[in-house]
Amino acid sequence: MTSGVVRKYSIFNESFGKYYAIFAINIKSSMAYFGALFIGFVSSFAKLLTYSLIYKAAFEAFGPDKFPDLTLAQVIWLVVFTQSIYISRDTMHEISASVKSGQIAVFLNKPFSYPLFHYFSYLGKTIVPTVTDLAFGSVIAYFLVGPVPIDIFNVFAVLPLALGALTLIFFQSFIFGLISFWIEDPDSVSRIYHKFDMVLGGRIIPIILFPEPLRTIALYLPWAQQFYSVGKNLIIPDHSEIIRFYLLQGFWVIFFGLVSIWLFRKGVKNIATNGG
Amino acid sequence: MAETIISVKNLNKDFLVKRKESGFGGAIRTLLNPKFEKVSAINDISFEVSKGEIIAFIGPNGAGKSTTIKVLTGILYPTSGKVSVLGMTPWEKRQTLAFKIGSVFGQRPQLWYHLPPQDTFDLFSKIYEVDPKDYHERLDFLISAFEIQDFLTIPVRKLSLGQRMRSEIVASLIHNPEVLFLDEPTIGLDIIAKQTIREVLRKINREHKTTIFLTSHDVADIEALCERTVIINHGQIIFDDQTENLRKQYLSTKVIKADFETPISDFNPKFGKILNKSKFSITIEIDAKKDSVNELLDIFLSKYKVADLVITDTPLEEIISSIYLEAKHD
Amino acid sequence: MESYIKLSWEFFKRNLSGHMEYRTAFFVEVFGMVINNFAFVIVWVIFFAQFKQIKGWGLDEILLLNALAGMYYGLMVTFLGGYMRIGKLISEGGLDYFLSFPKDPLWHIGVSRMPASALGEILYGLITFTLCKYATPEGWAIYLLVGILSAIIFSQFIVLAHSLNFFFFNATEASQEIIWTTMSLSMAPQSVFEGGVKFIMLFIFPSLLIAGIPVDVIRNFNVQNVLILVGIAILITLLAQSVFRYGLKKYESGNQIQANM
Repeated sequence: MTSGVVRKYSIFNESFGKYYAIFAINIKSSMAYFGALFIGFVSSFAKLLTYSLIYKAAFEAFGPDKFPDLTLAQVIWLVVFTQSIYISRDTMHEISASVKSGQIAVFLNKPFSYPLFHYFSYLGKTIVPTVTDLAFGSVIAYFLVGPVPIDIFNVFAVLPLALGALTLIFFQSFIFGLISFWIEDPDSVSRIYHKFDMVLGGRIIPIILFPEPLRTIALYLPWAQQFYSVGKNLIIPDHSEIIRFYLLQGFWVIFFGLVSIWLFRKGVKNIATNGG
Repeated sequence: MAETIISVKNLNKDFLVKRKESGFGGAIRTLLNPKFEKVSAINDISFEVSKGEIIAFIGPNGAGKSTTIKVLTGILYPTSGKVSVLGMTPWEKRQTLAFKIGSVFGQRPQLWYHLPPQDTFDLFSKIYEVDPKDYHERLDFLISAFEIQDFLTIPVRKLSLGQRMRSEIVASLIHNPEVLFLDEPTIGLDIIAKQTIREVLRKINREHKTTIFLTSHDVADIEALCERTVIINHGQIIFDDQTENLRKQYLSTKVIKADFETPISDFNPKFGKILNKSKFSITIEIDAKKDSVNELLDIFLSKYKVADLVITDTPLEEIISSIYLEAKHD
Repeated sequence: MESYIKLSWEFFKRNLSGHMEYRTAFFVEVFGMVINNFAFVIVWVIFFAQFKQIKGWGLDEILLLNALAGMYYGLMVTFLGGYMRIGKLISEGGLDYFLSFPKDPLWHIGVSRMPASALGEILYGLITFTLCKYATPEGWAIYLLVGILSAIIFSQFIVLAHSLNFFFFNATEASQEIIWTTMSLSMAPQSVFEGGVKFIMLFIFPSLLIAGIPVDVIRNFNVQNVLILVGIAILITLLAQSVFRYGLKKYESGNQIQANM
């Protein structure tokens, strides 16, 4: 293994091999308990079904008047997509617990990056539920309203948005975990914060159905980039808009990323001075 | 002849433990075709306890101690055997029995954490349906006996460990139980606190004939309180006799560990058992009744340069293991 | 029976005092919960601004639903808040503690805990009720009656869901999931559940039992409907109590625990 090219490749492998391993083991553990998994499936199915029924009833009665540009199928598929992104708040709980117990100091001595460790764990935990929810949701939507035309170009176009969305959710969870260095109970603060992303993020009501001026405001907030952007650009694509979504998401990802890094550095300093 | 209030005959308790296989495929196999393994926690034990006895019930972790106590208190029912506590079969009359027994377990605090002990006492008096007049008399007695007047109205979370333990024991005695189960009641306490507790327990035992079932790793507790010691290991009773005899046989053993600045290769003691010897240190066990600790120390100090010296009692775990090994050989 | 009621009150007083030790945090929790829950109301206000009603359910009905939820959830966590811990107690062996007392263990578990936000939930329910059109003088009496019955149904449902832990190892997540899903679905306009879906919402995620039917009883209040609700409450209580006792027998055989020897 003396060739320069091979060595570079193996260093790359070595650094990221461990993160891939973290990612993989989280996927495995999210599938470990068959009973919980099964109940999880049934629950997702029931929730997606309920949302679809709500919007079907609502849109059939009032949709065509208020939203002449939308079809029922589009609305249902959009609802399914925004509902499918699985939110794991484990990151916040894990970090906050390890800060409280002082265990975080141990972690920081390990030969891997603490934020990256949590990021890949989060991805591992999120992938399976999200994909299965999407699958269930698609089945439900298909049987209720039939298929919706999807351009293959759009599928590729939204993949980065999907990753960006998950990353955004992760950063916020990471930040709330870290503020337990300074706040006694981040859980209650985060609960209120998450009400904002629930209401304004288009998670329960797709933003496209909001009344103005709420609709325009919500589109610029970070939460729209989490749940709403992927679904919107896939189901009801508007080529003029997609650039704007990219830019907005990019902005918020960078913003929350910087806040995360800043807080993390502060936290590490906090440990160094207080000894954990 | 004191009446028998606890009677255990041929008690057996087996657990069926499910063998889980690892991996996803294993999880499916376990789901469809579960395999069980029988683990014997208690293996044909029998003993009797008379009213007013204070008995030490000890054994290493996993020995079957907690399981036995759970059966006696009615929380667990056995695989086979007859048990009678205060004339009742515990698991059949658990709630009725609960009126007459008290317990203090280290891991399960009974006192409400954010409130003063007084609040828990009052609550217990109502749960145990203690007559109000009796309650106040009893409480006054317990408060002065355990000396907790000064912090009755201070929230438990602000109390020291010693204060908490004393309050816990008071809580367990409010309803004047006939049998008291105590698990590690003096752990972490200073000498004075330990002695206070031991004294009060003895007093209650004398005046009310309260039977006490004590689990403790503190040998001094056992020696101070319990006339009788029962040792359980691997689900079997391996020692059931006067604590005196335990002391005579084993507790007089001392383990002396000495570190030296000069080599001691030529040291060959005439007595005692060498547990460990190296160029600069030695660990030796001697029977303090037969051989003199002083003599040994004299040799050390006169012949060699002692850097460090530690003298300990043989830990209870070792005593129990050696008893168990002896029992095996019989 | 009477002593149990008196004792419940004693536990309530102590639970409350325990929280009052931390005065600020307590009020933050209570009012925080009210604010928290209002987010859901806001969502529906936005929704009904666009869609007038869904199969006969409009904003007033959703407000009524929320008011009822605040009441049944609030009453349950106030007086039987410990029920939320049943799963954990079973799987970690913490049930032993309650078995050592001379009182019914299920009741004891229930009264032993009350979250700080409990009264906030009840407050939220009351406030939300004043906002809907059903808040007439008779409406209040009906609301409180149905609220109590729903609380009974809901609490027994919690017992049933957690009792899974007696029969399946590591079912704490599964039982939580069932409860959360049922509670989420209970906040949806119940009129969308028709046909076969009704079966799921009655017997798997019983949101119709907890929310749907009680709301209908409030909207169409008559003796017959109340009796039906009482009947449901009685049946589910009997079921939950039997299942729990059966599970307790299993627990006492000690077989499913990683024997805490």
